[in-house]
Amino acid sequence: MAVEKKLEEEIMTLYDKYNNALFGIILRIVKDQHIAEEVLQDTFVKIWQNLDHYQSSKASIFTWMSKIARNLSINAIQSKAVKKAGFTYSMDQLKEDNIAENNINENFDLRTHINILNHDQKQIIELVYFNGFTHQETHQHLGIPLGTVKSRIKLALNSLSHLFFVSDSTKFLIFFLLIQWQ
Amino acid sequence: MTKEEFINSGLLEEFVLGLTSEHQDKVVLEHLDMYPDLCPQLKKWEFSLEELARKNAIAPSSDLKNRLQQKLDFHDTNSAAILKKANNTSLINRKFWMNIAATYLLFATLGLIYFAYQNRQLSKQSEQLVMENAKLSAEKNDLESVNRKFSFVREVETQVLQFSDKNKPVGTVFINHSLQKTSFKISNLASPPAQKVFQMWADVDGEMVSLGVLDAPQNGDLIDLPYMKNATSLNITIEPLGGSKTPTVANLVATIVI
Repeated sequence: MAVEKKLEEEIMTLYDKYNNALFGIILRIVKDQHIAEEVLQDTFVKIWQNLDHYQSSKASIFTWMSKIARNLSINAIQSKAVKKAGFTYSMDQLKEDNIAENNINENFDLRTHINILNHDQKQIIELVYFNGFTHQETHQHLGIPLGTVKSRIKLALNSLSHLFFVSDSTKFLIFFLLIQWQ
Repeated sequence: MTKEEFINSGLLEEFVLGLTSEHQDKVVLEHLDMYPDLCPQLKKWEFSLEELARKNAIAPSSDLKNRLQQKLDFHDTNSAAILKKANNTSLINRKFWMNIAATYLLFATLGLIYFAYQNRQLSKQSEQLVMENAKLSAEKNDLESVNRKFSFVREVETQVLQFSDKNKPVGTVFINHSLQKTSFKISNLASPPAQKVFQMWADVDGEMVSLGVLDAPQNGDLIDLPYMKNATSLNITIEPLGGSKTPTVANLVATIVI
């Protein structure tokens, strides 16, 4: 019983730590609170079932968990669209619809958090991170060369790294120096 | 793939964004083993995307946690081992980032201390250089002044006369009528008695004209005197402090006929 209790506590620790961040990604993709909550539950069930396949030396736990969440979200909107329309939707059409909804829903606006990105980089992050587009799909959707897609993704990731990595460590450094001066 | 081809393929970016297939995941992991120097870049991107997700986090319903607990089967015998591993992995990641932060902090602090020290040293050196420069500038002015004085002495037209006191030379007088200049170089003049000074006089048309008081004369000094065109002699007398309007002949120290 002690092992089961500890097991429960630990999976719930993961939930407490990551549920809001994962739910933010899921809700932006599925656009429905009820479905998003079902997907979040399924995500944690799958995380729990597959933790023994996860290799910490290769990728962070959040990268691994968010990939599960995103794949389940895309599956969910695909099946939702199938149920709604009664026929098979193409993934491209699904994503087109999803982007249209994204653009009019101000609750899901990323602008306040990623102002450091320019329009092109922001668009790329929204497409690939919050809509699950591959490079090939992004190239077709935006009508820009594949090489440009790759370079924009890399620039956007580097800009984000600069924003979060540098700013957080700088804050830490300033805090440390302030303590030293006192 | 070579390292360059792998970087240019964009697979690493797709991997961190969760867009890769299982096969592509294997390719990426194999290449990360081959080129471990790409791992820090991957960690940075992972950290950034996690931060992005955190900043865009949305809270689900508060009862969702209870529903999840009911859905999960915690009596599964494999779960303990699985979650033990998960706990270790999160610990490893936490340790990794703490190490990165500590290293960054250490280098940043050392860098700041080093630059502050360098700045202080350079400021000190700069101040010293300014002082040295001012000192050298003053010395240069003095040398130029002395040079100007002595250049006049070296002129061919300059008349050189020895000033003597009882056959003992007390100095040399230089007179240049072209330049209308007179100088007196003191060489062996004793100090005046207490409360007395030496005063120079020129005999001009039978009248003694004061050329000034020798204020604290030092042997070796080259003193400029007023030029007297028609002077026939120069004289040094001992006078009360401040000098006299007429010379005290009884206190005549030295005289020279021009």
